[in-house]
Amino acid sequence: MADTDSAPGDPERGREPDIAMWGASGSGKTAFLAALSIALNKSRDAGWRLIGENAVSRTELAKLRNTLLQARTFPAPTEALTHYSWMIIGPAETRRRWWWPWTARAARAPKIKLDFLDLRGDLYAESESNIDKKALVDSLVKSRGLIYMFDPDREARVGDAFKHLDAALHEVAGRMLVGDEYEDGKLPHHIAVCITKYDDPRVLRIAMEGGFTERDPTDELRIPHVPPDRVRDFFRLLCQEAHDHNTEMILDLIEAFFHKDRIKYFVTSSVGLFIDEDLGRFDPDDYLNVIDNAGGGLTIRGAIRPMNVMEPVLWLGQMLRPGAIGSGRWNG
Amino acid sequence: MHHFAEGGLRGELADLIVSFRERLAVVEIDAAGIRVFEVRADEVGTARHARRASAKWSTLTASGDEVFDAVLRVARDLISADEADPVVITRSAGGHEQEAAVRALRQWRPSARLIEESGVKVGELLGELTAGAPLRQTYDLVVARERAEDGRLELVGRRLFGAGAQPGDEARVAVTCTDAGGMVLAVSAWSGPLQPSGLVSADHAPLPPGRHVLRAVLERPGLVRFPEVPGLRPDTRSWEEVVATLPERLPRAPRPAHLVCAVETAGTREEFEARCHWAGYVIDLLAERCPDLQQLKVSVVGYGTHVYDTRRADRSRPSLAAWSASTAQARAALESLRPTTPTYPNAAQIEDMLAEVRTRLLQQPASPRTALLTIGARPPHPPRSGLDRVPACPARHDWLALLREMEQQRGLRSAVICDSPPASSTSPWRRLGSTALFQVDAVNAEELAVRLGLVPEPAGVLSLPFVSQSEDSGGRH
Repeated sequence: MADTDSAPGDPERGREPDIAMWGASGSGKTAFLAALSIALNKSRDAGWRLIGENAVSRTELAKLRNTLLQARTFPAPTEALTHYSWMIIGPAETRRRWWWPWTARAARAPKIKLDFLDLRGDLYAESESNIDKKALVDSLVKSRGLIYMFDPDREARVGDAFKHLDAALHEVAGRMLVGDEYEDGKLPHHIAVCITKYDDPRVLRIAMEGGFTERDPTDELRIPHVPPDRVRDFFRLLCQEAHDHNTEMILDLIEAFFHKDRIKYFVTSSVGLFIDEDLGRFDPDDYLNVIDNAGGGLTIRGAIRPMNVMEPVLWLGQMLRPGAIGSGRWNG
Repeated sequence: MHHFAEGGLRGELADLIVSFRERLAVVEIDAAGIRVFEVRADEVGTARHARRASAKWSTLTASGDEVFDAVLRVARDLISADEADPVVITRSAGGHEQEAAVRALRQWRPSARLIEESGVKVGELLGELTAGAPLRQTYDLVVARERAEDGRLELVGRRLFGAGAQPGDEARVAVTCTDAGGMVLAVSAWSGPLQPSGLVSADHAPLPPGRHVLRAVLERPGLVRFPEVPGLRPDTRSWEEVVATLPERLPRAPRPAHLVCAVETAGTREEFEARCHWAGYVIDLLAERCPDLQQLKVSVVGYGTHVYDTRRADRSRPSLAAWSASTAQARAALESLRPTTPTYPNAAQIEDMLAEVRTRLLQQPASPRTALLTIGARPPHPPRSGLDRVPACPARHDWLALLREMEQQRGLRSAVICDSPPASSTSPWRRLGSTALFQVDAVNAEELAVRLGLVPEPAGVLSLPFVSQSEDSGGRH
């Protein structure tokens, strides 16, 4: 993405992104990023940080964090293409050479470059060529890890995810698969499919009533979660519940364009579920963490507990740099 | 030819006037000519006589007819052929014409009774005898009483005179006048036990409200007087008009009542003041309408919105400004409420208000009339979060369960005045406003108070005598 004009002051122009984020407007991309920063900070495995690669990105990150943590609301919807570059830097792992164990090699911190283009949700489906769309497709083509955001709430109301995904995938495939480089006919990316807004009552109710949720016995808050081996089925069900019949084809579309072993599904929430501190655990009668406020906007009601926000990024990082990020605990 | 020594013509006619069914014909034959009288009973059983024909002998034969033929023609025209209808012939002179007339009459009605008697004017005698005849039907005074099962008014008869009562007989009946304008004394006749046959008379009696023992005198059949009622005058309205003005029920005497005014304080000053205006208006209306202010209690509760962005659940409770107070105290309590800033836009603490009211109501002895008037903009919080994204009440109060409990245990009536129309048919406002639902810019306070059961329905006045269940010793519908 270094050859685009969208990252002013980028000191590492020319370097290609590792991960590109992708999803319709309102699908929770900016909230996800803000939550990612918070989640990394909150992680007990200290040492992971999200930093801006340039001044603009750093400023934006601070604003996003502030919006979520201080203003306790969500970033405003994206009006126009915005391009930021962030980097997730992990803890340096000191290595000793087996043949010279009394001296250590210099520590090296794993780095994952995250390219983020936030743009109007309908841009993917626009037929005419424009510069924003070109920047987006460039980003998707040049990255090797994708975070695809699927918003079940928006799908239940609007139902435009298939249209956007279908258009974008065909654009990317047209750029990458016409040559001989990828003989198997599949896109080379690893893709983390993130179901967003797990805290939304529509989504959580489908999960709970559909029998997809379990309790983690080690979780004192007793928050119901969808175990990894059931997320794909949950995703399929959410697609079936959507407003648009075509949404049912999204899962097949993804699996048609990507290698099945390079797809992983995550159930995520940027802010998590509300926990009454007096009760100290999840209450199925009172878990709304995002409520309307008197000003006509949304307010985050309780503590921010991002769910599965860090995991997709680190999984992608591990898939793209298997040597650099060695910990198996990020396998989801 | 019949002759009646005992009682003569007078006695014979007196008996027949009591016993005839449809028609009684009396033919008077004298030296000058012939007269035919008929006695019939009107719809209320009063015997009334009329002369149907009168002719001199010379007139009957003027066209060349024989007397026999002329009289036979008159008899066919005017005298019933039915043997059940008696015919009496009275003859006071003898002669060719008289004999021919009797023969003609007896040819037409062989059973006709002939009475030879002179010096009697039949028309006068019939007038005297019908006026002095005993009643052929019973006479009742029409009164209203309350049905035991539901208190609705129904019309029944209180016996004044039974069949056979004689002119000059007297009766007394105790009734209550409920209207300051007096009452209508309507006398109805009954030919049988089930249906009144008609109205004998209807007179307006300008009596004051209260209990009255009326003395009725049977002047003659068809005329009942109430000699001790001054200013009695005929009521000129039709009976249908009189009945149409009757109320369905008598106005209730005031019973203890308790109005709970719950006012949402959250909103702009204008919104808050509009809500308080109606609360005050309704309280003032009740104070004005309630004849005994000791019987009326008013409570005032102010409630706002929950706070949801604090670390711990909001346990604030509604502000109880007055409980079971006088209207004056309630007015002052209303003035003490202040507008508050909304802390949540889509719901308010109605469920907490209901919990507070329920707790206090159930501590009190049962009151026959308890009404809740909720005035606000926002519906209650649900006990559980739902798809509408309205967070649950922090105390998990269930507004519907609380409302039902008060309705069932205290007969609570619940009405609402909303800032704006309910968003949907399933809005909690519809249920809370099951007794009455108004918008703040279009409130009919009078109707609201009536529906809440706090003031009686506007009703027509009872213009007929009233008998209470305790006084009522029976009667006929």
